[in-house]
Amino acid sequence: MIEFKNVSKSYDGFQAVNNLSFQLHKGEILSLIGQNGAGKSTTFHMLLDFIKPSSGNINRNNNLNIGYMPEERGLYLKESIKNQMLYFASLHGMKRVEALKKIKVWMEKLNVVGDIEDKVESLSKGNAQKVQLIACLMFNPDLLILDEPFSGLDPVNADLLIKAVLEAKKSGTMIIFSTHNMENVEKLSDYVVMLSHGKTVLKGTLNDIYNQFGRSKLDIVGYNNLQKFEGMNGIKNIDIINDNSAHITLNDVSFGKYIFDDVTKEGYLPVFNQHYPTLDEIFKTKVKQSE
Amino acid sequence: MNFKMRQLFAVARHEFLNQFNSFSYWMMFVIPLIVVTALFKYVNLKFNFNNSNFINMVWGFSIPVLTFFFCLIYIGIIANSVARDKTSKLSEMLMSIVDAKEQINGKMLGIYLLLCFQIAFYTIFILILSKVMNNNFLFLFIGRVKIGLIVYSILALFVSLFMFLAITVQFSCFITDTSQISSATMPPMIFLLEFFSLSLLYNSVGFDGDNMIWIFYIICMWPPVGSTLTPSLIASGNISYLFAYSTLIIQIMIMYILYVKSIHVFKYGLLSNKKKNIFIEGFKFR
Repeated sequence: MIEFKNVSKSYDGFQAVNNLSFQLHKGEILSLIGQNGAGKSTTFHMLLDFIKPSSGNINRNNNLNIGYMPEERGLYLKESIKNQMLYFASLHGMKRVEALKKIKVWMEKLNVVGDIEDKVESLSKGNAQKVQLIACLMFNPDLLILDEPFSGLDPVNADLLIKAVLEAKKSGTMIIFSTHNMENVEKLSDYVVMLSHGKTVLKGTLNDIYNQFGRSKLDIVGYNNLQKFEGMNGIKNIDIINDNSAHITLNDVSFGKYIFDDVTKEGYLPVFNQHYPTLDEIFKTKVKQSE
Repeated sequence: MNFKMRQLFAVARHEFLNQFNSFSYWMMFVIPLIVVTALFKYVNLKFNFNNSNFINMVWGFSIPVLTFFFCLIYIGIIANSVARDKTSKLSEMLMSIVDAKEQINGKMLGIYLLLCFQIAFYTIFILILSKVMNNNFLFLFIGRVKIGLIVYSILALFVSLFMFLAITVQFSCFITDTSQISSATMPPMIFLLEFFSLSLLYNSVGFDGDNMIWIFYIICMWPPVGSTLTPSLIASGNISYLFAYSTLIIQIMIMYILYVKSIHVFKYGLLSNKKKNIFIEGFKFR
């Protein structure tokens, strides 16, 4: 298990991380979300023991086998995939034969276009990124740290990455990653920590977070008199898209029932969807509040 | 073998093979071979091998030249190696797997293996050349040098190289693009050139030993000054073995302190991505 207990880090008076606490268990995925400069990379650096926290405790087993894909990542361009993967494998204590087998399996799994003897400089950016991921995954790490793993990947390759991460989770790897892509957070995370200027503005499981906000979003399509809801007490904001459709943000979730009764009085309505705000919307709201 | 040792050997192996497969390394490797071959072929060497003063003087010149040559090659190699990790954006990932200490030690071990390979190759090459050319002047010459002086010179060469490598690492870990490699190698190369010139100077003119001995003792306590100067000073008869070995021991102790500091600087430098003035960062006390 990994535990951050009231961890803070400041540099020359600048508070990079402020009172951060979370726990991560075997086979769990935690996503760290926040704007640029929110303190995500600093958190990773403290977890990797690159830097010491100014206060608080980080509890983790020192013998953890860690796979780390930093935000600023690369490979030896002039070396072949095989050479450098074998080098990384040997640093993890893997045997050459076992490592070669794993590299080939992962290259196939992640659909890396190219031969194992190819030099990295001949690979496309996406393929190079997949090779970097193989370097982190091939030794079955106990802890996988991925800093912005989806940046630069097309949707097809992003899906391959998600699959690989979920497979690692299945085998018991603890995974912590940062991203700006909320859709992938929803697909992967067991636990979310949202940072803004180093402060934790939101944390919990996805369900906890959605429940905090409730079904405050309402989409209506096929009702002609939407203007009448403007200015009503239970409504925070109404965004009329055209004559008969609108996105509504509710102040009071129970007000949805009142609207439903009203708009269905006249009979059939093609769309009435009262739903949770997206993680993207929650993120923007929280950032605005913290500023 | 424990895990850290295995990591250290993995880094050393990677370093060794990288250089072994590099064209630029072999270019530097063969230059002395060409010079030695030319010596064997074209120079009619009529040495007086019974004149010990002459033997010592030649040795006193040869050792600084060899130290200069080997240090020059390996300063460039280690600077390039650290720069390659940094400019390939691999330093953070490597640091998450291997401690800074094992990385430095592995790189240095790789370089010492290359040095041993180079010396062994040169020896075999000269042996073969002597047979082919029917000229064994080099072995005759080495045979006349005192064994104690040879042992001390080799020890001093290893200490000098270690110190120059540690200094180079301190500068090169702040490299953010390959154009900065020359800036990182400049300070150690300036030191190297300075000590090399001084060695040659003291070997040829000597010094007033009685009055300057304590000043020299203090100067020679500092690595790599002492390790670069003392072999020539022993050869020219200006200092005793006791003097030389006692400074070497003090140098190794100081070198250890500086080495521990260089690990700290190396870790800091590898994790720093901002473009900085390499001279200032390398000399800064942390």
